[in-house]
This record gives sequence, C-alpha cells and structure tokens, in this order.
Amino acid sequence: MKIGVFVCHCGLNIGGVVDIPGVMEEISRHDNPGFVTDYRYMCSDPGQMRIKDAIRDMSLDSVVVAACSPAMHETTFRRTVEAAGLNPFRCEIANIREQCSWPHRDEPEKATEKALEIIRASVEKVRKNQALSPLSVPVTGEALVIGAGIAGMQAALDIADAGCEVTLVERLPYIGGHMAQLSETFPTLDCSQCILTPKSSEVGSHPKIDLFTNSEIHAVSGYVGNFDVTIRRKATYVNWDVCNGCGLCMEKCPQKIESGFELGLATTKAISIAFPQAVPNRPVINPEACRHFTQGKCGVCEKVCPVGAINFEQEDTFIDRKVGAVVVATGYDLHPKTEVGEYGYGVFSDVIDGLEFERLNSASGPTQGEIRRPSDGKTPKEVVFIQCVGSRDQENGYPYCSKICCMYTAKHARLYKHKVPDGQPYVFYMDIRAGGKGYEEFVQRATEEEGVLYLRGRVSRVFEEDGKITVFGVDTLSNKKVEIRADMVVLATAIVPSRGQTELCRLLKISTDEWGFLSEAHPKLRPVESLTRGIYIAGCAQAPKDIPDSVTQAGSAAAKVLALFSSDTLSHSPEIAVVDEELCTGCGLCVEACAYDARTLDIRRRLAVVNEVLCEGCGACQVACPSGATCQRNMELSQVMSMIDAVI
Amino acid sequence: MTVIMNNLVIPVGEEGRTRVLSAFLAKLLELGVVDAMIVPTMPAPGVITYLLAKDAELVRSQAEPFAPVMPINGASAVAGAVSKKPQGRIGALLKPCEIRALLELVKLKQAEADNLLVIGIDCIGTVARGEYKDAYPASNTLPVREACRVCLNPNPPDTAFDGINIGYIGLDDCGCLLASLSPGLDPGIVGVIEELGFDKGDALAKQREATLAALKEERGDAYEEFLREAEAELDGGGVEGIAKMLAACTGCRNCRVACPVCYCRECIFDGDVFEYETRQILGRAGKKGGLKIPQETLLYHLTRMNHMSLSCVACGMCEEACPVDIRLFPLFARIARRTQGLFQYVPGRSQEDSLPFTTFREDELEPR
Repeated sequence: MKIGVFVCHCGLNIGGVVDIPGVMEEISRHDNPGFVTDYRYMCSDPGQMRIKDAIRDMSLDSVVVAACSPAMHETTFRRTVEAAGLNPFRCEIANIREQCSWPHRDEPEKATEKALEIIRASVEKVRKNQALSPLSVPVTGEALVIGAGIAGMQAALDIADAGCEVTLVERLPYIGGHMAQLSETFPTLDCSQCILTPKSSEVGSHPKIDLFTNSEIHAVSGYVGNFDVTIRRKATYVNWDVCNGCGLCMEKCPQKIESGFELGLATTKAISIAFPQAVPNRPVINPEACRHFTQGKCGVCEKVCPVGAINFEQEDTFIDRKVGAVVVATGYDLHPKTEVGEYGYGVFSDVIDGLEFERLNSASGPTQGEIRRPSDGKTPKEVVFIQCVGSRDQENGYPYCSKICCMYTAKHARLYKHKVPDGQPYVFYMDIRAGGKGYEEFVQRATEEEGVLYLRGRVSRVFEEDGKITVFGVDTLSNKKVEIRADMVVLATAIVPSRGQTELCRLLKISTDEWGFLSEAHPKLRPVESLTRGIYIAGCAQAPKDIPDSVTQAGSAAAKVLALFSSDTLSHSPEIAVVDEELCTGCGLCVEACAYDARTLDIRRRLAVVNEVLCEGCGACQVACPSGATCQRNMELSQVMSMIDAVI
Repeated sequence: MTVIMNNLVIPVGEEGRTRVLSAFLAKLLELGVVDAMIVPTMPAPGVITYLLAKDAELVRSQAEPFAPVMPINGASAVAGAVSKKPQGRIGALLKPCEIRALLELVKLKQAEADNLLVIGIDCIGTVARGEYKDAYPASNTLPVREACRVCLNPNPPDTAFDGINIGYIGLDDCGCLLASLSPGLDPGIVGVIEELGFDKGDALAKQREATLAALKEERGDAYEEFLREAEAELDGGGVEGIAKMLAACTGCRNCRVACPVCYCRECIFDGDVFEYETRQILGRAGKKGGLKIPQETLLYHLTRMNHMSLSCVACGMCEEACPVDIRLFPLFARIARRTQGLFQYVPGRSQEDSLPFTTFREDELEPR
C-alpha cells in the first residue's frame, strides 16, 4: 500500500513550532509510507494540486494530510483526493495544529515528537481504511414550523412561497405571537398590527400552509428528512369549519374573565376571540371559566349561534404528519411577576412591565391607546422606566442581556411623551445598547429632542405612598441620590424562553443552554441550525432578539430547510457504527450508551440494530460493547490497536 | 430494601436435611410448580455437577443441595437453559453468589427471569472441587475457599427474584429448615406450597437473622483484613504490580469461561483484533527490547476487569479455574470493590438497581 503523507506548515502556525523536515525524514525512514512532502498552505489551490498530482504520479492508495483539525478541512481534502480518483474515505487528517503546535508552542521539541506520533497513528489507521460510499436517505419535502409568532410566520411563508408544504403549529388560538400585542415598533414607530396583519392573513390563506392554532406538538420521532410528528389540536368547543366569526356568542356570554391577551388589564368573555384582527378569526371557549363546564348550566352561546357551531362535546384531536425538517420558533415570555421579587412588581398595580405598557399604548388596547395607569385610570404625569430588571443580574436573575429593552424603553418613553406632552419620563439604565440600523439615532432623539430624562444608575427601592409610586435610585453620573414620586413605573423585565420550551426540546431531542434557550450548532457559523440535523431554530427561542433579527433568522432557517429539500435524497456519512450479528449477544449496553437514539434492541433476534441515519459515528457504542460486535467503519478495533502501537 | 417474607418451617427429622430438602424440591416438580429442576447431584464419588431434572424421582434420590462444592457458578448453568425463548417454568437451586450472578445476567439480557423459579439456599462456604473429590467421603474437615471465607453474602438475597429461599444458618439445633417465600411469588405457587402444611416460622426467621448478622460482622472483619493483604500482594498497585501478579498467565482463558458474568458470545480476544502482523510485533519488541509471549495477557485481564468488575459477585471461580495459580480473586475483588463503590452499585441485589453503564447521573462520580 502506497500512502502519501502531506505535511502542511500552515504558515508559521505549524511550521513555526514543529520541525517539519525532521518529521518528514523520520516518517520516510521508519513508516514506509510511499511518498512524503510538505507545503506552506496545503489547503490552498497549489497545495491541493500537489496532492492530486502525487496521487496520479505516484499511484497512491491512501492519503494522510497532517494539518489543522478535521473540523476545518477534512471535507476539503477528501474532495481533493476524490477529484484525483481516490475514494474520499481513504484520506485521513492528522491534526497537528489544534492538538499539537498550538498548545505546545513553548516546547517545540516535544511538539515535534508529538506531531510525529500523530502522523504515524494516522498512517497506521489509513492503512486499514476501507473505501466507503455515502449513504442515501430519502427526504420528505414538507416542513413543520413550531410557533407562529413573527419568526415562525416568516419561516413558514418563505418555505411555502418556494412551493413546499408547511405545517404551522401555534399553541395559542391565534397567530402573530407577541408582535400582535405591541403598539408601535422601533426604530420607525410604525404600528405593529399594521405591518403584522398582512403577514397574518397571508399565512392564514396560503395554499401551502396548513395552520394548526390552539395546538401543540404531542410526539416526535424519526430523523432528518423523515420526522413523524403528532400534533394535538386542543378542543375549542367551537366548530371552526361552521363558525363565521360573527361574534354574537361573545356578546351574549355572561361570564367575564381576565383577558390573557390584554395581560389582565381588561376583561373578555369565557368564549372569545383574543383581538379583533386575530387570525383565524374564530372564538374559543375557556372551559375553566365557561359556566357550562364549571356549573353545568348556561349554554347561551349555543342558543344564540346562528350556525350551530358550538360543540361542548368536542375533544382534543391528534393529527399525524410526516415532515423532512422542523423549524422551532417558540418565542419568549417575560420573567414572571412572581419571580422578580423587586420593585413592587406584582404587588403595586401601577408597577407594570413593558408588554403591559404596549397594551396601554395600543389603539385596540384596554384604554384605546390613552396612557392611563391601571390602578385608577388617571393619566400618569411622571413615569419611571427601569431597565435590566432580571437581565444582566447575576445574583437575582440572568446574566445575559435581553437585548431589546434599551430600544423599547426609549420607544415607550417617546410614545408616552407624544401622548402626554406635559408628562415626564425617567429612564434608569446601566448603559444604552442601541447597536442596530437607526437605533442610536432613535435613542438620541429621545434624550435630546423629546425630553426623556436618562439616569445612569440602579433603583434601590420602590414603594407606594399616597397614591404615588416612590422610586429611590442613584444617578452615578452626578453621584447623587434620586427620589422620584412617580405615578407609574414600567419595568424592562428579562426575556426568558417561552413556557414549555424545555418539554418541547425533550420531544425534539435538541439541546438548550442553561437558561433554556435553544443551542445552535455553532454560535457564529451555524446560528440557525440545532445540533440535531434537520431541526432549525429561529427567533427569541434561541436568544432575545428584536423583530428585524427574528425575521432575518427565520428567513435564514427557511433557506436551510429549502436547501435540504432541494434534493429528493440526502447523503449521510458512512463512517458510522455497524453490528456484527455473529458476535452480538443483545445485552443492550450500546442502546443505553447511544446519545442519538440510533440504536434499538431487536428482542426477537437478540441483536442490537443501528439506525444508520441517526448514527453520528461518535463511537460510544464501540466503547460500551464488550465483545467487539459493534464497530465503527474505518475505526475498527484493529485500527485502534495499530494506532496505539504507533504512538507507544 | 427489606421485604417481609412468608416463612415456613420444613421439619428435618431422622431422614436428614439432604433428603428432606431433596424431597421438597421433588415435590415442587411433581406438583407441576416447575417443569424441570436444576439441582446439584453427585454422579461419581466426590464429583458434584448440575443436573436439569424432569424426573422428580431423580431429584428426590440424587440431589445434593448441601454439597459444599460449586462445580461451576450455577448462574451459567441456568442462563444456558433460559437464555432463549424459555418455555415452561424451570426451577433452580442456587447458592447466594450464583443467584447474584444470575441477576446480573438477567440485567444484561442473557437470561430470562419470567419463567424461572429461583430457589436460594444459605451457603456458609464451599471447598475446592479437587480437594473435595480427593478427600471424599472424608471431606468434612477441608478448609473453605478464600472467596467464601470473606463472603459477605452467606444468605440468598431476598430482593433479587420472586422465589423461595431455604435457610439453615442459625438453625442447627432446631432440626428444621426454613423456607421463605418472596411476597411477589406467584400466588399459585404459594398456594401449592402452603397446602403442603408447613408451620409458620417467623420466630425461626428471627433466630436465623441474628446468627446471620453475627456471621456477617465476623466476615466483614475478615474481608477488610483480606483486602489489606490483597493490597500488599499487589506490590504497591499500578500496572507494574498487576503485571507482576499476572506474570505466570498462559493465556488459557479458563478464568473467562469460569466467570459467570463474562457473557460475550465470542470474546474480543478470540477475534482478529489482537492478531498482529509480524511488522507490528517486531515494532513492539523493538520499542521495549523484548516481548512477553503469549502477548496481551495483561491487556486481557485489564479488559476483563473493565467489562465485568461492576457485576463481579466475588464467587472466586476465576481463581479456581487458573491452572497456574494466579491470585485472581484478590485482584478482582479489590477492583470490583472500587468500581462498584464508585457507582454505589451492588451487583445481584435487586432488579431495580440498573447497571451503572446503562444509566447516567450527573453526580455519579462526585466527589472525584
């Protein structure tokens, strides 16, 4: 077997530490490779050309490229050898940069010795490498989007516009998410509903979008290209196919309840449509409040409904879908009132959060857009905005920045000033983060032209006295204590992942960070992919972000989905585990060891079985298997033994 | 994990305990409680082997339930009979360490417990097979094997299987045996046994418990002493110490065959993984100056430790199988105590203790 060894200098990254000529001489003399050469940048076109030429001229059977991590250039060099007519899996990367020259920069002699051993081990491995071909997996060209806020809607529209079927699942009875609750949006102050409703109605009527509102994901199985999903459509007790949305039921319903959409600032009925522009514009009965369910009588809605749409007997239904890709866009919640424990939040009714302020400011909100404080409906003349409530707070909250609060607080203060010109808004802030197009200018306008008073410092205490909310704080710029007798306090509470996201992640088998936000495959280079192939992420489910960022990420996720759907099949690495049925005793240790659910036990045949598509070739099963019945292709135990021999 | 057992007294009388217990086992076979019964028998003077009997008469006349010899660990005998699609119910009379090994095999899916009736029996110790045969019938004064002298489990575990335990420890003066039925035992079986008309034996059970507790305390001290000696035998431990202990190994693999929890269909050391090209062998020899032949005896034992020390029930059969008298028992007992301690795992105790390799707890290796 003729093996070509190609040692890359990576400029001075490797060449400045490792004695490359010395390594090459040792390899040529003792390891009987067939051909050894080096180059300054092996990944460059001339570097790759050297490999190709050598394969042809020297009739090489296998190739070892001693360079950087295989995560960087394994694909590059495997393509290179394939272009020269060799099976790509006969090319191995010896990582002598990340695992050698970088960490051992100060000990060049030892680094040289280690580089030699790494290359030797790779040479021994590649001797026994088999020629493999990628596996082919069929792809179902339909997508599931979970969450129909602005991110989910955008992803669904982008995928559907490209001609692929989309199943869009939303937990609430309506789509639009939190954006539907906003009054105006920064930095242009255009009405949120005005820019949202065209999208909502497009989603509602799109021939390629199958919309399930008031629904949740019940079960998920399968893998990239072939997910089986069960959707639980919760009972609405209204036959939406018959209902024409006339609203008579809501008008006549005798049972008032707090409106969730209005965040408790207004009431609605036990049968209701959340807001006038809701899509779909169909009512839902809340069985916890409805007199028919709680007291066993009433049924007024049933009597008045002109089309007989009320159905108290309706039950949850389960719908199965086969999809090729999933976009998770489950959005956010605000840090719950009960957990803040500061600033009188949840105690004094005139201490509200940003989202409640949005409703107070909204033309369709509880005050028809007039700024009136919740306790007595008076117009507040002094309003204190407190930023970073729970965010950037290692001790009592979360260390991360909620990102949108600087901007929406500036927006709130300005909108307040527009509506109450003789009022005074104060903003307590730590620093202003306004890094977006037109954002800094937006904040500047608040401070310089519109009389919003920014106070850099924290608030120490908030308490109610004589119908006022007194705020004690400190202005660290002037180093003075500040006391404001305000009429209302608005808290920029931290953004947290939406309720139930952890459970959903468990169903989807995707990971989250310690706060529950979805983990991306790579923070910089793969920001819209989860670590599970075929599952993509968008919007605030990943991290706090504003509308433009959410829309951008949603579009990017859609592009990834469409790239996946661009072919009927997708290829999967053949470097995965296989089971020797003659040797397997069916003890099942490998099944438990597999982190990818790629293994099952065939009880009848007492054998472990590999799902080739789910297998990521991590090798945990090979370690767990005592008899060597499980082997990873091109990482056979005999190869491992040879590699060990090479280094000891 | 204490369970309340249903204790019954089996009177012994003049027949002697061997024939009385054999008759009880034969009765279970006759009454259709089991379709076959695995019992130790003596086919030749001083030779004990397991017999899978369908004929109750064979059990009645030939079973040797008290023979102080373990021909093989009975777990292997039973697993062989109930590993694939067991039909009918098989009963097996097993010593505590055999039951514990069998439970490990069940967890490793190498035996089916569903159609098995495990009948455990107290064991105060066994003697070496060869010595027993040579001295027979005057074999009463032989020394008990080292593994048994430091055994902390002279009684069958109550929580391993839903079966019957036969007790005799602490009951020498009573002229009876104690049959304790697990609370989870099939009510049909309980009914059949209760119809045999045995008296309740809760007082005797207490008496046995007390003697057991004293015996275990005594054994516990012996075990600690034994571990200290084992440590010394290892010569400071480490690979060097182990290599020295194993220096005589011929690579016969008898220990693997004798080990009840070594369950692979084909051992990795029998495959081609460790078949080297001359080039590799010469390379190795060159690096070290010389190479022990046969090769990989150290790796073989280390691999076995890695694979089965968590399930090791300290039966000591490995050492008994060794033709060159390597002190495998102290070696494995010591390793097993460490690995099992690491995961607070007790092999063979209960089906509810899952194998450490199949579960993950964030704190399982804390403190490190």
